[in-house]
This record gives sequence, C-alpha cells and structure tokens, in this order.
Amino acid sequence: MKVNPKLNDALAVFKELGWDQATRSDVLQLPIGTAEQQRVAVAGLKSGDWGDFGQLSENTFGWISAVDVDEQMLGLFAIRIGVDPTRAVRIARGDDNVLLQCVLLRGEDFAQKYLQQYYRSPGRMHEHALSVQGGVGIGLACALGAEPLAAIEYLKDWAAVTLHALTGEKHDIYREQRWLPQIEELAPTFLDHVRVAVDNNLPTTGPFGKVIPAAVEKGILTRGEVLKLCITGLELSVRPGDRKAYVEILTSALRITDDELLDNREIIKALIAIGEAPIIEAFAPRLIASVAADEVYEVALPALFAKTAKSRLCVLKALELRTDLDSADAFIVADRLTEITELPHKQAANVARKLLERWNLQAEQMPEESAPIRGLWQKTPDLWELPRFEVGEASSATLAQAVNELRTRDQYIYDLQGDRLLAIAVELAKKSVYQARLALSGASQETWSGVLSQWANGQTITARASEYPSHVKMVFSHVGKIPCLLSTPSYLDSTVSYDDLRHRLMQYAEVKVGVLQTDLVLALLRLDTSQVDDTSELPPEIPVVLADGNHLDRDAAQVIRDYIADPLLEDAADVNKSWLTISVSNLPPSLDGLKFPLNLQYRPDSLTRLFPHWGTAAFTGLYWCGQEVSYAGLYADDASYRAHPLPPAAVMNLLALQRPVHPKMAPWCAQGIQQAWERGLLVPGVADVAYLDWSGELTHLASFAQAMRELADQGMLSLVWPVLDQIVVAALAAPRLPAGLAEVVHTMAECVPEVLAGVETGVASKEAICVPGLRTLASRKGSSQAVEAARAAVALLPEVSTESLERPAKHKRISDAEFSEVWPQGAGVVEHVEDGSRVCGFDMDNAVSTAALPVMFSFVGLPGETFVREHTSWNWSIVSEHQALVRRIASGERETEGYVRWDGSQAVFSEHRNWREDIGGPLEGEASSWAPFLAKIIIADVATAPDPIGERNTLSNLVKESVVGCETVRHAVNELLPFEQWSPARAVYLLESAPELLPALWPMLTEPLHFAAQQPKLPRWVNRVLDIVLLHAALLNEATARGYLPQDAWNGILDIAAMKGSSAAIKKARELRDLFDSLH
Amino acid sequence: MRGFSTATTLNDQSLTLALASGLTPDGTADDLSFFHGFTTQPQVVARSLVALAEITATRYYNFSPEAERDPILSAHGDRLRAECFSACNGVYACFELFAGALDGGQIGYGTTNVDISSQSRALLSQISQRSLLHLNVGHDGLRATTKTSATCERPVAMPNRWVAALGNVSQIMQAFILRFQAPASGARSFIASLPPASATTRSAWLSAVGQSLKVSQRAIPGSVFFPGVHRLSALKRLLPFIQGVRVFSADGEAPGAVLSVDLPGARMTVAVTEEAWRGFSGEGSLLVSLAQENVRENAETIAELLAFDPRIDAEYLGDEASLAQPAVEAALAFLAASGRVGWDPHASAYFHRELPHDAENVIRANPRLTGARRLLDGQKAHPYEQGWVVVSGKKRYFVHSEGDNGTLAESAECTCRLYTDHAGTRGPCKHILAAMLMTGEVR
Repeated sequence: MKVNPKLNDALAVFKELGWDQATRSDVLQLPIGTAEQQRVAVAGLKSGDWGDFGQLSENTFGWISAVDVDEQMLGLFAIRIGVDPTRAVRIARGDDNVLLQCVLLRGEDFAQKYLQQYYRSPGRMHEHALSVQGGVGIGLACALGAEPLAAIEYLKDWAAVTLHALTGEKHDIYREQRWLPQIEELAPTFLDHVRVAVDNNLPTTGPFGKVIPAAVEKGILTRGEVLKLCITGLELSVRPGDRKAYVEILTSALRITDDELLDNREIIKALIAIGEAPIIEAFAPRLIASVAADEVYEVALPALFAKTAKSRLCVLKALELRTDLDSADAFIVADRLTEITELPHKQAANVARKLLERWNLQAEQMPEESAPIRGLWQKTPDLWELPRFEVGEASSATLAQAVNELRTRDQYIYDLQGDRLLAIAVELAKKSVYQARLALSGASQETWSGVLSQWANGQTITARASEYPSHVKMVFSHVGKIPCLLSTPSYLDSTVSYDDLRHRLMQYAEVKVGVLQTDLVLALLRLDTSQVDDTSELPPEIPVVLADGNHLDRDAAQVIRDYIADPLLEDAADVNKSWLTISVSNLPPSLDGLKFPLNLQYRPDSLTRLFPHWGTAAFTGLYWCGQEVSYAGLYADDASYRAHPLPPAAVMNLLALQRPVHPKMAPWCAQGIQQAWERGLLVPGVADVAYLDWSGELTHLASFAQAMRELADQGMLSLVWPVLDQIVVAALAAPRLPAGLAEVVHTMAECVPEVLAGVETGVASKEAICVPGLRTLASRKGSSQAVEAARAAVALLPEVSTESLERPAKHKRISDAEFSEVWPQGAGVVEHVEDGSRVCGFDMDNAVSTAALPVMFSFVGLPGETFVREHTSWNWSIVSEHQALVRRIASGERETEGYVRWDGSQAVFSEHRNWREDIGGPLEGEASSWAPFLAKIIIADVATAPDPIGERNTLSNLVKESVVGCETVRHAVNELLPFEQWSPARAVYLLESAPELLPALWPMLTEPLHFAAQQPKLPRWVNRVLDIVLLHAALLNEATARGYLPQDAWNGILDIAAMKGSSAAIKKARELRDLFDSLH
Repeated sequence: MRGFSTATTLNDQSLTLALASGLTPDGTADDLSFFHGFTTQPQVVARSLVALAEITATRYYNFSPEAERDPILSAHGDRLRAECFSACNGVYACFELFAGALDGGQIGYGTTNVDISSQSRALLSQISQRSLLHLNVGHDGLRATTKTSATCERPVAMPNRWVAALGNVSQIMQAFILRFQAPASGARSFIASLPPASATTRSAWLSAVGQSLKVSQRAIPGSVFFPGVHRLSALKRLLPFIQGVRVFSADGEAPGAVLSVDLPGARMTVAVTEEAWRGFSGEGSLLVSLAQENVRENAETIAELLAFDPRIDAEYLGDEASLAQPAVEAALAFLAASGRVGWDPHASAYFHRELPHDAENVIRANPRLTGARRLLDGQKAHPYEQGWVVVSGKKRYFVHSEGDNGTLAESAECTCRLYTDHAGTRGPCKHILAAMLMTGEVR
C-alpha cells in the first residue's frame, strides 16, 4: 500500500468543508472550498492508496482502511474538487445518479474522458452482466449524446441497460440499481449503437441478442434496418453462438423471406461453408429449393460437409426434391455423396445413394479389396531387465543441464529427473558450493517453489517442521554438508538397493553428520525389503535429523533395521476411488516420529516413484482429466519404468490416458504406453475395465475407441482387443447403452481381420474370437448404430459356441448377504425434524449458466419472508456450519444477503456468517443444528447444477454420515417435483453406481414415479427413473419386502403400468410390476 | 536508389508504409498499378481476402474479436501476395493469387497494405462466382470493383510488431519441410471438421492416410503436431474451392506448423506458433544471423540486387555480390528481420517484399544482441571450467557446451532464466551470444 504523503492535508480539507458529516444524497450541494483548499485536497487525493486488503483477525481477511472517513464520500469529493479522469475512475464507488452528476459537473470533456477510461476494464460479474458502474457509464453516454464508443465493454453495458429499458428484464443486472437510463434517453442513438455493436462483434448470446427483436417489436427499429444489420452481423461473427443467435433472429423474429435470402445468397453460401448446423438447417434447404438449377451445387457442396448427420440429411432431402437438376453438373458433389454413403448414418446414406443413382454418378464399383493384413496382433514383448540408474558426472554443466531436463518445474514431483538434480547438487556442492550455485543461478522463482533460486542466491533454506516436510527444502538446507542422498534410486524404477543404502550410510558415518529424515523415509519406501537378509553391517550412531533440526530418538541404522522387519506394505493402503486419495491405516512403528514426504490425503499422484514395489495404489497418478493441465502424462511415462508387469488398474488407466489430454502431456502419455509395451510391462488380458478412470464409468468412449484403434495400429492389438470387448460387456450391464459404444464396436469391427489373422498364424489364441460382449450386443434387438455395427463385426467372425451374456440379474432375488452389505438394518433412517421449510421455486431471474439454479424457500414460522440461495456452487457453510448463504426477501423491506440457520426450534436469519459474534468470517464455535432445509438445498442443486460433481459428493457424504435420511429426502423431493426446473432424471444419476445410497435416497425414485403417474402426460424424465429402479430392482424389491420401504411406495409403477399404450416407460413399468412382490 | 518513398515512416506505435512506389523492373514510377484487370476466380479472391480479414480481426487465444485488418499486399510479377497476422500474432496467413487466376492485365511489382473494413468486407462477401470482378491494385491500395458498386481502401497503419513477426516467421519456416499432402476430398473433410475460432485451444496430430487427413489426439508415428487447429478455422470459408492440402513442419520439436490449401489459381498458407498463446514476434530465432560479421553492409548490398523476386536465388545473389553463401544467408536473415524478404515454404526460398527499412531498428528490435555486445565490452564474460561465466547485473551465469557438438549456436546452454525456461527454443540468450562473440563465432 502506498499512501500519498499529503493525504492527511486533503482529509483535513474534506472535514473542514463538512463532507465527513454529510451523506451521499448531500454531495451535489456540498461546498468544494476555495481554490487553495482544492489545490491541497487534489494534491493529497490524486494518487495513493486509501487502504489495503489484509488480515483482520486470525482467520479473517478483509479491507483495512487507511482513512478515518467514508471512502465513498471521499471519492465523490475527490471527483468534485478536480482529480483527473483516470484517478476519478479508480476511486469512484457506487452506481447512482449522484456519481453521474458529480462527473457531469466537471464538464463534457472530463465526462467523455471518464467514460473512455472507465470502459478500459470495467469489472462485471460475468460476461454479459452490467458492469459495476454500468448505469453511470451508459447514463453519461446518454447525457453526452456522443457517438457510441466502439468498445466491447461499453457495448455490453449498453445492451444490458437497453434490454432492461425495453423489456424490464434484469437477468444481467446484478444488485438493485437505484438508477438506470430509460428508453427515452437511449432512443436517439439507438440505431447508431446497434450498428457499432454489429461492426464490433458484440456477442449476441447476451442481452444484445434480445435487444434487436425487442427493438423491432417496439417500433424503434424497422424490420428492414434490422435485417440488413443481422446479415452483416452474421457475416462478421466469429463465434458459433453469435451466428446461431443471428440465425434465430433472422428466422424467428424477422421471418426472413426466400426473396430476401436470395438477395443475400452469396453471404449465406460463404456462411454455409463454415459447416454449422443452425446455419445449414435454416438456410441451405431453402436456398437449394429457390436458387437456379445451375447454382444449387454451390450451396449443396459446402452444406453436405455439415458436422451433424441431421444437417446433412436435411440438405440431402432438399436436393432430392430438386428434380430439375442437370446431372452433368452433379459431379461437383459426387465425391461428397459417395463419402456420405459410407458414413454410419443410414438414412442419409440411403438418400445420398439415391441421388447418385439419379444422376448416374454411381461411384465406380471397385472390387472389394480387403486391406492388407499388417500383423497387428503381435507377441507380447519379453519383460525387460531393469537398468541401473546412473547419476553421471557432477559438474556445473551437468547440474545446469539437470535443471533444463526437469519434466516439470513449478512443483517438485518425485521423479528420476528430480532425483538426478538433487544427487548432482549434493555431489557438486561437496566439492564447490560456488559451482553449484552458479549452475542453479538461472532457476526461476517458480522452479520447485523457488527453493533452487533462493539457494543459488545465497539465501538460507529452512525446512518447516510441518507434518509433511518438503524433501527439496530438507536437502537444500543441508547441501554442502551431507555426503550423498540415501534415496537416490539404484535402478530406473526408483528402487534403492540395500547395498547402496548401506554404502551411502557409511559415507555419513565417515563425515559424522546425520541423515535427513525425508531422505531416509524416501529411501526406505524405495527399498526392496524382501531382498534383505542381513542388516548387521549398518554403521551405528548416525543420527536422523528432523525438519526442526532435532534428532530422532534412535539412530538411522535402527530405523532401517526396524523398517526392514516391519515395512509399510501396500496392504495397509486403502485407495479411495472417488477422490483418488490413499489412507494408510497402520503406519509401521518403525516409522514412529518420522513424517511422510507428502500428504497422501491430498490426491497424491507421484506415488509411482515413491513406492516402486507397490501395485495398484502406486498408480493413482494415472488419472485422465481431459485436456486440463495435469501431470498424468509424466506418471504414464513413470509407469513404463517398473520392474514387473503393471497391475489391472494401471494398465486400464494407462490406456485411458491415450484419450485427448493436455497437448503438453500427450507425447508423454504416448511414450509411456509405447515403452511399457516394449518393456513387457503390459500383459494382454490384465486390464480391468472396472478401473476405467478409477470409477468404471463408461464415459468418453468415442475418443477411447479412437485411441485404441491407434494403439492397435502400433502393434498393440492383443492389448486393446480384450479391453474393447470388456467395455461392451460393461455397457450391456448398464441401464442404457452409453454414448460412444458404437465407436467402440466400429473399432472392433475394423480390427476383426487382424484378429483372425493373428488366430490363424497362432500368435493369438482362439479365445480371441469369443468376444462375448460383442456377440451379445449383436444378438440384441433394435437398430441402434452400436447393435448394427456389432452385427456387422460378428458376421466377420466365425461362429463359436460361447454363451451369450445375460443382462444383469435383475430377475433374480438378491441373497441375504448381498442385501445386508448394501442395506444394513436401520440404514437411511434418520430422525426428520420438521423445520417448517417449504421449497417455493427457483429464482430464474438471477440464474447463471455456470452454477445451480438458486432455489427459493420459505419457513412456516417466518411468514412473508422468502429466502433465495446465493452462491449456489458453495456448500461449505451448509456442510460445516449448517447455515446457508441466502438473499432474504421480505415484503416492504430491502433485500438483504445473509445466512439462515435452524436454532433448534426456529429458522433464524443473520446478516453475518459468524452470527455468534455478529461479524463476517467463518462461524466460530459449534455448527448450528442441522435442519431439513439444508438437505433440500443440496437435493435441489443436484438436479440443477450444470456439472453437479461437488453437489453429488456432498449429498453422498451427508447420507453416508447419517445426516440426511429417507424421510427428509421424501419431503425434499415432493416439494421440488412440481417445479419443472428440477429434473429427477438428473437427480438420480448418482444412484446408478451407488446403490449404497438407496436406503436414504429411495424417495428420489418412488416419489417422482408417483408424481409422474398423476400427470396428464408422462414426463420425459420418467424413463430414466424407471431405468434406475430396474437396475436396482432386486435390491429395492427386497428392501420393500423387509418393510424398509412402505408397501405402497411403488404404487406409481402400478399406475403407470396400468396406462394405455406401449411406450418404453409403460413397458418398463409393467416389467417392474411383475418384478415387485408388493405390486402383486 | 530503389526502395520506398520518403513518406514511409517508422514510429513507435505504427509503421506507415508507402508503396515501394517507384520501383519496378522498368524503373521508378509514381503511380504504379500492381494489377489492373479481371480475375477468373472472383469468389476465391473475395473469400480469401475476407478470410484474411477474419484472421487479422481474431485473437485466437482467449478468443476475442478485434479490429485490426491490415493485410500486406505485394506484387511479384507472377503473383499477388497478401499477408497478415492474427490479432494475437500467433497466426500468419499468406494468400497468393497466381497469374492463372487473373486476366486482362499485367501483375506489377511493389508492396502496400490495405485495410479491409467491414464495408468492403461486406462488398467482398456479396461477390458471386459469376460476378465480374475487376481488380485494380495500385498505390492507393486495393480496389474491388463490381458492376454495381465500388469501394476503395487507403493504406493504413500497420502494427509495428508485424515487422518483427515477419522476420521471425520467415526464419522459423525455413526449417519446415513438406510432410504430407491430401487431395480435395480429404482436404475438404479435414477443413470442414475444424473447430471454430472461439473454441478452446485444441491441438492435434495430423497424418495422411490414403486420400484423407487423419486427425489424432495422440502423437502417433509419422504424425505432425499442429498446435491449436482452431486457428485454421478461417479456411472454412474457402471449403468449396479447396483442391488439396499440404502440411509442413520441422523435424524434432517444431516451433509451430504450416498448412496450406490449394485453390483454383491461388493458394492460402497458414503458419501457427507452437502455442496458441504465443505470438510470432519475439522468437529470437534471427539472433545468430544478425550477429554475423558485416551483416548490415552485406544486407544493403544484397538489397540493391533484389527486385520483388517471387523466388530469391541465393547463389545468384552470392555471385553477383561476391559474397559467400553464409554471408548471403545472414544478409537475407537481416533483411527478413526488417520484413524486406519473406520465406516461401513451397519454394523453399525467400521472396522479396519491400517494407521501409531501418537498420538501427533491426538492432533495436533484438536487444539481446545489443546486450551481448555490452557484456563483451564491459568484460563481463570470461572462461571458466569448460565454459564461460557471464556476469549480468548481480548474477553470474554459466554458459557451457557439452562435448564436441559443433558451434555454440547449435549446442550452447546457459543457466539463465531465459534459457532454462525455454530450453533455447527462443534463440540464444545474451550470455550465449556474448560467449559466441568472445570465441569469434559471431562478430
């Protein structure tokens, strides 16, 4: 914080003139003093900070003011007495007519500059929201009557304000604006603004898209003007969303005629070439129908490259209707039509074929030539012999190179490159600290959290005595004093051999210094204890230096002996698949007093090199998270350095990582699997699809299939073939076939000739052609792409006597043991406290696309008050403090943001989160009483959040911790069902793979079915709910039979089954009616 | 004296170009016309110019539309060449219109740049394949005339950064070789599948399989990494006219990639940087060439011999100027740094395009070289062990070259942050340059 040295003089003037005692409404009448007073005040206010963010208390951070007056008033004072526009924008607070008038009082030139300065980077809640002082901004523009600013930020505000003025819509206007320009003020420059907005590509996905039709409807713009502008806007737009919005305006609001389309056909033709479905579907068929015959192909050719099959089909149908086309010109589209006949979409292929026939353009029927067999099914390479890890020479050059060779810099991960750097640094510093510092002199502050740079600059590195001390800090706090590192790998898999460990320990004995605790622990974790039988030669009395500098109560040799006798084995580790964390329940006593080198509870991922002798638990770093930044590729590479073949989870997720990842990681992922294959670490048939993405969820199958195809092309067909069939098996067990399964099956079909060739040459066993998943899918009814592709693939395979897979045993009764494991007695039964809360809808006006819809609720005990959930993605206060951040709406009162809680007998609203102290910040002391309204919020969010992973986990944990029970869920679901925004189909998603939640969440199934049966038409979501009931039918039937659910819980099924018709939902309901004992 | 008129100036913020007005093979002319006649491919011309306009007006990283539309237009006697950079400077586009697509006039020689405003862009968008398009390209800029209306663009200011970017793109592209190509059907399918410009950065590995271009999300053998394929989206406008596609890249860690599409009588080439967030300027790739002995004088000698050649014959220049090939290459690199020559990856040769030249600015735009000379003059570099210690400010850096790996330019490493952060991919740091100056590898 930089405070202006003359600030106090300015504050004195501020007070002399009485501004410190006045209110905002007085500002325009307050005196601004003499010229001298103004000079003094400007000198003190023209620069400098008036406060800074800092720590208010132990756990609270906030604004700490450096002035003892109201900063808002001080800002207005500064503007009035003469600070420049740049400073004025910086210190102005509020968005009201007072600020507007203050700016205008300074004259037109100042106001214009203020406007331009403000719109350099105004703050706004989201892309289309009115900026924090947008009302003043647009008000100034109106008052000045100037040309519109050709600045996107300004135009966004203009659109938000104008939409509000035209329609009253406040969707993008956050907080209650006390003053906004009205349509009369906006009208004089309306058309100019629209022109500038179009020319500057103002997004039409925001308020601007609604302003245009509203302006036509209100008669402010003529249809002709708008049509021209929309065509221009459509042509200039670069974002698909904007183009779609313009198309929507042109076709819906303006109802563009065929003649108008023809007038603009060249522009439209160019836009069709972009290949976007909304443009092609809206315009291509109409143009094809109306342009001259010799011009049709100019429209059709680019349109046939549409990305969606639906769009291509509508173009083909339009072509089919043109019977006047000259077949001589049709060669232009012949190639594309031929390609379409080979695409999976059958209907489009048929029409394309017809057209080719009509124009005698049948692609030359080449004799079907099968692709040459490339021998992609190859023998699994032999297991490699693990090479030793060589650190190499220690010199300034090699140390500098080691920095350059780090695979990642920003944080230390346990890898060979890091080990090499540390080993060279220790070795070189032994000889010359100067040389080591010189070599590390270029390391940036970001490299390994600045440790290298700080050490190179001569700073002292201090390792904190925290629970998980940094290995790097420990090393660099002792570099130059220690002879070597115990943990430097002996082999490329990071194993430390006992002989190396003993030898290194002797070096410590020679120089009489202690070993570092992180180094010792790391060495122990890497030690193959099974190979050690004699520990008698370990040198005694070498202390173990802890992070705080103290020594452990026993020497290093003793720790090593104890550890070898009682090591940390993988059995002690439990992998939490939801969070990919590892909990080690029982640390061996040999490690007492020593800390792990990293926290296993925070999604540890560099475990491959920490635990070279572990199996599955060491590979949690192999986690695919799309194209997000992660180190997964590095761990994929690490996995290819193991001594033994990889376990099922590792193989599966190494394969999963071949899907699109961050481009920086992609080469590592590719290298990892290629090396692992060549080194014999990937054994065909080992991968287990239950570990796919560590959850077994079948997602992103299309990209998975493409990656598997590419791996097959690289000679790994034997590896991927059984995995592909496993995917089909898993898909068949799911309530519905997952997206991308068709691509998986297509890939299998493409690989069939190579598989057959492998069997024929004997490199593949005959079991390879069993593929029970593929054969079962092929035997299914229906004509989905997946089923048809499976049939085509099976047709290529010889018949074998293999038993077709059955669908999950939903018709079988569940055994007592199976049932009790999922549904122990008393599970899901939690006392329901009646808190008087009632869901009363969703605040659609304040909904944003990036978070759950704000649910609204009231309490019987608080009549006239409604509460709207705020910050819908933030659940911490609900879970930990049992209070919800809300906006309180009470008739006749100003809306207030605060927290609502249940005090055990009634709902209480507080403006402060820490209601005990009446201050902000986290609640101190115990949480409030839990109450059902909190569960209702989470259950509402589960179905309305765009990506409710966090909400699902929250609900799941609340159930598992017996905080939320079935009665509360029943109340919540029944209150939410009347609102169409809450879809049970989305809510039940988490039940698909988590039947253990059913004891508490079964009302998410029963209540929607009951509700659906009462509707005049079955809602679309009912199918999804019935699918989940079918999936868990045996479990639910047994629970009902045991009386855990009321006997009439499934009456909704009975009612739906009794309906006339044969829709899928009714069929499923009838199937369930037959299955449930209680419904007989 | 051949070259630009005195009206051309280089200011801090913009480079205002005059035409290389007076210079044609016939001598100086004040009112030259690069081309005056008709085009047989009106929509190819129109849509290509609109595509260029779209590229100049698009920021491909953290997408946002911008308003910079200043393609550079050069005439080489056998073709017209329009070049531009995207608003983010990460995309270079070059549209070549060959004589085969022009009719009724002769292509002249010279350079200008034009602003395709939204008005003229709208006009271009309405040009039909059947329209009669009369092109009049002269010192006033580009004149697009249809039967019904006309618009004229004046030369406009060109961002200063384009000059450095032109130099760098020409140097980078020299390492690029043709890796594969695909005919019309494969090319069109690939272009049609491209994500929009506003998509989040998506990179892909491209390879040719039969007649088609295979797009993969994995590095597969024989593939070319194409960083940010969304940066090719402007090519979609040309889809119906595309007759083939070629992909160029360098061996090893390529600093980007190049893709070109063949059009009737024309060609559009797009080069992209190695990361969508990086611009072409600041690559530092010319530094070694710029540090060669007498490079400035040689460049002037070579420049005297250039005449808007569509393909510069370096051997011929060497003979004419009595310079060895390395000196010619360095001189051309020096000229490239000021935008006076560009690199054509198809011909694997430089072409001549005139921009106002300020030799001092070339040096100013490469402060590392200046810094290296300053270090040397201040005796801040001295041999140490198998390398050099270079003292810069309060820090010491170690420049070293392992083993017998050829020149320092090829093998030197430094411990400074620039080097460790970018592993030498952005040209040598000033410490390596200082060591090179010390050893006499450069002067």
